[in-house]
Amino acid sequence: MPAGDHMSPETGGKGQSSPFLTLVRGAIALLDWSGRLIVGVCLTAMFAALLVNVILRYAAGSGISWAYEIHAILLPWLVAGGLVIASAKGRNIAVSLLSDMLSGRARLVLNIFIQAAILIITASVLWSSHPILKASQFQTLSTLGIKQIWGYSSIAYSFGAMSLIAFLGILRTLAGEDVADLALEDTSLS
Amino acid sequence: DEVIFAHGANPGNPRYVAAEKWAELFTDCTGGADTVNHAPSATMGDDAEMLTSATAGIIQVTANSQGAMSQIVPEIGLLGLPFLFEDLPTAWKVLDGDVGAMIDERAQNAGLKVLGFWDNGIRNVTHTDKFVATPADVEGMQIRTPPDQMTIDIFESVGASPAPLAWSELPSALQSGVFDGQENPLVNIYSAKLHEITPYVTLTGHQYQATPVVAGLAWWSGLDEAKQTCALEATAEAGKIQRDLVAASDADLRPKMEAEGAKFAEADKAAYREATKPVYDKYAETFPELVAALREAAGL
Amino acid sequence: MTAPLIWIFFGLLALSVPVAHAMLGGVAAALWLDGKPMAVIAQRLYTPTQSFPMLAIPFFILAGNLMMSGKFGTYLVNIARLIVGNFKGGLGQVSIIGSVMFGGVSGSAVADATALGNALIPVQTKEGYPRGFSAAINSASSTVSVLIPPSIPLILYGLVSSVSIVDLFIAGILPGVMLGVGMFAAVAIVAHFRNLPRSPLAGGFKAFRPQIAAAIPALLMPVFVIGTLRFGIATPTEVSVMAVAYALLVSGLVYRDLSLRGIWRAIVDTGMMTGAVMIIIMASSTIQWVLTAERVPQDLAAWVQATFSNPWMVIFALNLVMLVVGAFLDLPAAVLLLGPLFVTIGQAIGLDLVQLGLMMVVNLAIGLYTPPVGTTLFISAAISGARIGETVKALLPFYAVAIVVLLLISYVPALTIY
Ligand code: NA
Ligand code: NA
Repeated sequence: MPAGDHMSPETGGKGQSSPFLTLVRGAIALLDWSGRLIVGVCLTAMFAALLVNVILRYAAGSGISWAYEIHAILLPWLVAGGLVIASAKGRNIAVSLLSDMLSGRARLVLNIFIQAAILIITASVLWSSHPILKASQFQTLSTLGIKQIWGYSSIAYSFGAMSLIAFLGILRTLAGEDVADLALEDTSLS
Repeated sequence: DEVIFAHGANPGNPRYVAAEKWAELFTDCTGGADTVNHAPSATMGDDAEMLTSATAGIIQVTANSQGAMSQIVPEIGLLGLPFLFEDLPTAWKVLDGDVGAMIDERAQNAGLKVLGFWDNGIRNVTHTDKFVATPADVEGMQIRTPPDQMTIDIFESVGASPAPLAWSELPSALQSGVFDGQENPLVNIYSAKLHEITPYVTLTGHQYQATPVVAGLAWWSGLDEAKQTCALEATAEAGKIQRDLVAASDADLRPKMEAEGAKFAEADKAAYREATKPVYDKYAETFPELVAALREAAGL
Repeated sequence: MTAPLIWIFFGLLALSVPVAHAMLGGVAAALWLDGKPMAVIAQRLYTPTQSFPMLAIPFFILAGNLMMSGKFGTYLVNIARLIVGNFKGGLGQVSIIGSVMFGGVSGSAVADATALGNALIPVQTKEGYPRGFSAAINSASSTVSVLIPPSIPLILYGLVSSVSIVDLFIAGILPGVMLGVGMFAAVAIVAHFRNLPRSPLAGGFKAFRPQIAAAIPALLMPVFVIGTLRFGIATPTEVSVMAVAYALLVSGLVYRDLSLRGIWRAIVDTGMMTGAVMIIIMASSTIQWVLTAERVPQDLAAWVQATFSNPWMVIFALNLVMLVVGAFLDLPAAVLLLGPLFVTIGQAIGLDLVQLGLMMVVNLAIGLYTPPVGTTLFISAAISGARIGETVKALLPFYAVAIVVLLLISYVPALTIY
């Protein structure tokens, strides 16, 4: 696989460098790093727990009972962290035919439309998740003893971050950056 | 209005039949004012998800499981204490009485209303190459359990090596010898063809499990009294059919499974009951009154 | 709800809104128009993350990332060149052999298209291969990866159909090899007519003997994966974890090219790919809810049964639907969207579910190199600098091969059911 660190829109973009845009890029970089940190912790912890469990089950005859439940909290967070990294880098899987055909002003307008659509959609998912988050504070994982809301809140984190990134994306597009640059090889898994 | 009644069972399962009946009874009782959308086969999510959905008002009613429900109301997990009920009628008497009412009260604090209890059957142990008639036979046995602390405690108390595993991974895990056996009600064993891999079925009956029928509290509170009565009556009425079907299906399944190569043996329940006593003591530390009440109600 | 959902989804898709967001937009609008609780979206988004077997996806990705980031990638290309470099159009054949071998460490065609495309297409261009043809070989051959175990689409199908993932993995080997052999033949024929050069590796077998020895532990990974599954060392999810441990061991002890920096990069890449694929899986799960609430699968299954008199006609119809859907949707999304529907139909006509799974993955993998949305097509064209139009023209023989294999899988059960 190629590195996750190629020229990404925020470093290779063609925007002006105003203090405001620097701030916007800083905010996105911060989100990007929060995603990396979450991904690192979740993936490593699940790897360690499951590997130790398999080894123990063979060596000692009995594994760790919570190893089969740890993913209930950590997998949603791994996904959320990964989603935030992908969004911060502008790498969502899209059918970019129309976007590729357009140029200049038309492309700019379409980019703003796309960012606005993402903003509205992610914000409405975030807003409507409220009853589910409330319901999940009553559920406790049986062997881990952790409340389900610790897992469900990953949805609030990732959709909140995606809304914010889309909003900042509109600002960047208005400031003249082309944020619709896609790098397909990193975002699909077929 | 449309009422979504969701559960995880497939056509042919007693729970499915009873849910159909519930839909019919409730619709008739409300004079057609409310129609029921029967959503089987976990199409609305698994048991834990259906409970969240009911609390959040996405679905209205779910015929759920004791395990998922105990993540919200831990007390309901105590129904799974080892060898608690001598027979099914004893279990029903307890559930339809004070214990059931207490569980309902706790559930309401979490936004759920218990409409009643159906059965899920009694759990038995299957093994790849031997019967486990006495506690000594399960010593050292690698047994798969659901991720349920009570079940794990039961098998640890008799010296087995229980390990939880996802249901979806169970057939391949048994096939490949990762486990010596597993434990489930006969219905589940038969539907997943587990008796083909673990043909030695010991009728341990170590654990009873209920099927709590649960509604979202917000929906429930919005119903007028007449409709509330309809929902409770439909649950009780369909529950009779469901309990009969569960009892009958266990009886039906044995010859069916024997014809397909499974072998059956009875277990020494007295010896098991003695060996699993420490489990009661453990749970009595956290829930002293309820464990005492259950012991008394069950005549232990 | 189904009609507004479909219109809004395709509308947003056409306007280049990301696929997952377009799905969510369609579902949100459909629920809102129908007065249904929108909280169902958050609930269904969460559902796939609660599945234990789903964990195999990030771990198989991580194992592939760790393996390919080191020297193994270079060795692999060299071995393929040793084997087929002497043929006419040998570098094209290297793409195919490479994909078969690469398939054993990776579960994803896109990973294959990227890794092998970057390594091979520039060399092919230098040796005079038409750009469109290079892109065509790479985009088609890379799909062999999703048939040779491990395979992410097969894991996903196993989850929606409750078919054993082990059975699916084993059943995928033969179709994968058939595709490889067919494409090999296609390249040979084209190479003959276009008179493409031979490209033997300088120094030959002797010079690369140490590399072969070094590549063997990595090439043994599929044997390791299938072996541990088959002989019951562990379950698929556990095997994915052990595959990561294996990859760490091989690159740490055999290749000695393991660095903390490299591991960290593999982890971040894995997280990003997991996020990108899981969001589509999660969004599909919200669509699934709407379809189920309106009983679309049952109605469609009943309609299919009433309309088509023969099972073979049903199978034909299923394949047509998949070719159309696959043209627009990414492979994992299409498997998850159509899987539950097709399983219902398949059971109704008595189709074996392992066979159905292979039929689905072979079919939908064709979609990866058909326009308008083809991920391996886009990647390969981007690497080679070819236009989509010329690449599609060069793809014609590969489409023919894939369709023949698809028909065989669809109508000869013995190829997938042992
Ligand atoms: Na593969
Ligand atoms: Na396509």
